[in-house]
Amino acid sequence: MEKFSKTDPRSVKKHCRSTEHYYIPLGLAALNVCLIHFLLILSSGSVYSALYKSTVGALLLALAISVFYKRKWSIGIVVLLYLFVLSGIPAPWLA
Amino acid sequence: MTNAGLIKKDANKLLWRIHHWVGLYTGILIGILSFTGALAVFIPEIDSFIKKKHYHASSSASASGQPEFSRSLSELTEKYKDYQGLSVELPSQPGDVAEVRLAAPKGSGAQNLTFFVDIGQDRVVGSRNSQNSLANYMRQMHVRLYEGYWGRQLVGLGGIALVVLTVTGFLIYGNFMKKQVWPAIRKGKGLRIVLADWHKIIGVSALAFNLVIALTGAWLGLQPVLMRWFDIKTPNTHKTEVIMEKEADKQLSVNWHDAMQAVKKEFPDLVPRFIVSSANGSATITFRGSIQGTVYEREINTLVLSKQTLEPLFKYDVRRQSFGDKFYFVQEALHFGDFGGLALKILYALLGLATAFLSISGFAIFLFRTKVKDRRKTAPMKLVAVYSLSILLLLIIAALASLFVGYGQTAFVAAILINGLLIILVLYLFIKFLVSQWKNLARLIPGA
Repeated sequence: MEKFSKTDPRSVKKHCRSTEHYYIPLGLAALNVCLIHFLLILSSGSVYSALYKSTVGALLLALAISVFYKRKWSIGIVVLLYLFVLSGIPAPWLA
Repeated sequence: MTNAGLIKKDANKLLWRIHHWVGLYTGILIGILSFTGALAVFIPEIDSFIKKKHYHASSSASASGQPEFSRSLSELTEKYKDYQGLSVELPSQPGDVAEVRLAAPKGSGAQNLTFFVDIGQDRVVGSRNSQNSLANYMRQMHVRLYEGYWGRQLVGLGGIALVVLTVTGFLIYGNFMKKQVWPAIRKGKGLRIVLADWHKIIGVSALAFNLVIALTGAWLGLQPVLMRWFDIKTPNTHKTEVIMEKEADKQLSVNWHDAMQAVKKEFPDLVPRFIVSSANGSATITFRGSIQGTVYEREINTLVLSKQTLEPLFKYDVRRQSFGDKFYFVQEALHFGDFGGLALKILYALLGLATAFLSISGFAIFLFRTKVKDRRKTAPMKLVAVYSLSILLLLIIAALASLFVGYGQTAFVAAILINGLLIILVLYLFIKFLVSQWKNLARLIPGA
């Protein structure tokens, strides 16, 4: 089985179609929503718990990092996690 | 190329054409709406600044911790006995004045009056004609392009156009990126390529925001028509029963301090902003306000109290309503971004300006692309600058006319201008269509 060496140019990750065309737009769309969501809960005082604020803040950061580093699995997982938080299912534990 | 490949290529071509033509014919409208929208999110802050600096109207701290306006209301209603409606808008920030509005009798030709009240010392500190204010100009320009007849529907159509542009833009994004990576800008390939790269990067980065703004804008613009067509009722309407003569209702004295306490007791989460005292014989006081931490239209939560007993007659807490009601009232909040403090407003304004940039850059790319074909001698960026500055100048002239001449007169001129431009556009498209048909015919019949 052929193995790429560290210096082999073929081992350098270049343009990944699915990441560039689908995962990054998805991550950016989630980032739009998450940023607005985070600003809402920050400005709402004691309506939201510190744990809920920290969770959304951490997801915002994770989304930004995933998009910046273009890791498609990480974008997918963070988006799913954010959708889970947004669904309200974990709200009782984050209250 | 396989059949599937050909179909995909044709679909991409069609999507690009839709993006191109919709962008070309509605780009100016979307640009104006994005720019005025970016300003419109700051209407309360700008208006507060104007009231303080121009009208020297501000409030001192109230000794009781409650807004005090009973004496001012008594004085005003005593002075303007023939008023038809009375409302109070409480300030949203400390130091701001409350606004008391008295509606003039219908058919009298008199103007509605707005007074500023210092809610700390309970005294009237100024007045203005709200229709001719800068806040009203910004609101009317964004909501209906200053055209009272069907301007709002035009804005709604602009929203639909932005939905089409956002969706088609996303669908052709992949095809236009090919080997490019986000967010790289190609260098050394000329201004057209740089603008095209920025157009794609900003477009995809603000995709979700644009889609939300476009969908909510389309609904808000077309709302009156759609509600009429589909018989949709405003969810929180409440019809109060008339129980006395109008004059007797106006004469009823209200202890506003007790009324505010009753609101606190009946609806603790309500932050009252808007108070309407009845003058139609129903003897009610309506309190409207928001609930902190929720994303719903401002002043949509309602509590109606009896003027005589301060007993609750109607309560509308949007959190306790059906999904349909919540969905109805989430539209305006999502569109104007007024639910997350100043930071969110700044974000909305920046994203709104990004949409305006998409409109301008799209137009510039079109001019670059068609320069040779159309044998145009003027540089594309010069044309873009001329168009952009002309529109900005028009907006400034309309603002000045509205402030110093009057809302009615400016709206009249705006109606002529907008409808005139629409007629010219329709005629242009019609003539262009006829010419192309004639050319096709001439090609088929060489002697013709």
